[in-house]
Amino acid sequence: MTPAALTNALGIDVGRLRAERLQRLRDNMTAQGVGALVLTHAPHVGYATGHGVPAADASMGNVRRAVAVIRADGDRPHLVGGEPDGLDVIAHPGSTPDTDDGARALAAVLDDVLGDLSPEHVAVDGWTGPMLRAGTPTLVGSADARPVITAATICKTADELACISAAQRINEEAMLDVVAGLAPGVHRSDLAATFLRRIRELGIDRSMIDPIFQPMPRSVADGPRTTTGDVAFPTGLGDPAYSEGDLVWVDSGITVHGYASDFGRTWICGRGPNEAEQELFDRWRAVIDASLAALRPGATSGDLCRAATAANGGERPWLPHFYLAHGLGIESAEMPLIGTDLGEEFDDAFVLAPGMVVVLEPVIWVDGVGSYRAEEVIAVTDDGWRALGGEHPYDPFVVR
Amino acid sequence: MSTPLHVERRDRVLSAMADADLDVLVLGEQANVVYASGHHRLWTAGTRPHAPTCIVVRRTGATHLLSTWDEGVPDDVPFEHLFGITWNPEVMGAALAAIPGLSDARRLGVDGMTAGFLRAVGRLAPGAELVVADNLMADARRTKFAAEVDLMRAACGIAAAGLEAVAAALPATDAAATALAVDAMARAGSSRPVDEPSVRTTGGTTVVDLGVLVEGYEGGIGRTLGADAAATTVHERILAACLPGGPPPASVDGIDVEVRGAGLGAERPVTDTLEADMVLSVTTTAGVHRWRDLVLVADEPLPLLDRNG
Repeated sequence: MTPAALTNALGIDVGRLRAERLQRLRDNMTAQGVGALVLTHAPHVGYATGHGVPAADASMGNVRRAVAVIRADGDRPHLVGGEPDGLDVIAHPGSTPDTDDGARALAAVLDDVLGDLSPEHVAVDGWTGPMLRAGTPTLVGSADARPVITAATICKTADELACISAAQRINEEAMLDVVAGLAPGVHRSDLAATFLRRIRELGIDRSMIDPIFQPMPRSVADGPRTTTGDVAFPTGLGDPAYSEGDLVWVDSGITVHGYASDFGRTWICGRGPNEAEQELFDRWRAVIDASLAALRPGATSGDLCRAATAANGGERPWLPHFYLAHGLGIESAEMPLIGTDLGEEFDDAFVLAPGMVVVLEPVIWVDGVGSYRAEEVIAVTDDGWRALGGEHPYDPFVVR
Repeated sequence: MSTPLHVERRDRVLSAMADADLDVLVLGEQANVVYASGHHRLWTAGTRPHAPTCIVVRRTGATHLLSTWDEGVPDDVPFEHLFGITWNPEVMGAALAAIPGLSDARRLGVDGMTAGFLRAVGRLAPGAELVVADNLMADARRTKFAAEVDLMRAACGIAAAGLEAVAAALPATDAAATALAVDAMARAGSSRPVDEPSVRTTGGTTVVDLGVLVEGYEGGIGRTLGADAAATTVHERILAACLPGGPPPASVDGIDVEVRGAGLGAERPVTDTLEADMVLSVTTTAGVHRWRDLVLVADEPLPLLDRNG
């Protein structure tokens, strides 16, 4: 199914999507006493204006950067530079604020549009070097835009959830062809090639991460040295050739209307799981089931962490540099972040609410035996949860 | 044995820091981080929120890196100089505070900022004067070492493999041809795009523009398939004009020329006098024809793709 067909089938209304997001931004600006936002990070600009986020290198992302300016009391958002065609914005010509010319042009627009606001009422998400030189928006005294962005984006609208679901389903469909190609002697580049071709055949041109097909060591000691003393993932380096029995951790993300998927599975090269490996998967399923049983509006992140840990015999089943679960939307990992080094107090204070997206990614690791890691993309609903993916199989592991 | 590329680059950064009287450089832009540290890591698309990722201390000559593991980190960056991924500003603050030479820095260079990092700097280096150092890094990166040119040449070869796949696939829809190009480039060695690949057919011609990264370095190619082969001389003349001491090639009537720097991905537009060992991405558009090449500025300017597509 093409994205257009899927968009229709899922009832995604792009105009409504954009209007509701802008309203959420303005509601949260008002609630936080922010008079205006100046946004330079592409996903933030996209959220505020609908401007596309290219699936390009960070260097090119900088060259093609547009800036969004939103007044809490304004009408349409301002877009400085970029490609405003087809967007409901007040367009200002300009080049990237990664150049001095672009930063000066931006400063002139800001003087014109926000000149009546004092700096502490202007919230900014980031300054480029040339913006710091231009001096507007001022670095010292401006507010931080991130709390507004987080508050606006953390609970998704129905259209946002449909976009994530569309991305997830297409990502899953593409992976069916990729896993079929995993065999001894095949290289990581072969799998990446198939994935990147297949998503395009399915109508998606935005892969937001170099897809990961990382063969994992059986023991932490056989992998790279880490600051946590735990497993290194995702390193995203090299072009390994797979051998029979390799456990391959898979991770990828594509976007639909700027909303990300997050695909995670563990594959085995060239054979099915032995009993010990299947038991790792069984434990992973038990952790998922326990987490989902605890997942409902009003539950805290701490409740999820405790349920997952109890189902894993008292040991935390996730990588210490990451989390048990993370949000998903305009970023591949955003709030809520559950089980991070923000600590138990943070997790116990964080209450889950309808519209939040929770990507559970527990890891079962038995040193010397092997590992299982996969991801489940879940939305919190009014009375519990629902899966945003399409029940992608766990082959070669079996649900028993 | 020749000096490793990452050491050549770091020495150039340290020298630039000395010239600018910077005690510490805090880098967040990906290309700057790679340049100063030699760190290779997972590729993700798009702009990055600014965060302290690589800290270079002039007094110690040491590089400190945000990385949870040592894979992809050069051998001469000791494990003790790594600080891991964290979600907790206090953990990040403590890791940065432990870097020798940061707390007593007088002049601290940054290549971007956020309100959060400004607060952190106030605590970590309370006496430091903030210096905008994006130009320092851009200047350091402008001319290329031979090893950088070699990586860019390799990346150009991979982009050419994508172009060959498109040529072999025609006639095809633009989307189908693009899918094959991306597949071919990944198999040839890179699944990391510089920009979104472009295949556009109008009338009887197909304009193709592809670019990929090898160890962070850009390669690229733009060609018009189905075009009059003789028309290519227009583009070749433009490339031949990329001479040290001269101006960047400019548009003339009917021929549009776009020039930007190329290196660790896309660099800024080039408007001032060319220097030997710069690499330029030069796009020439004439009517329905469009070409793009990376070219090394030299007395005999050298396209990095050593054959015409």
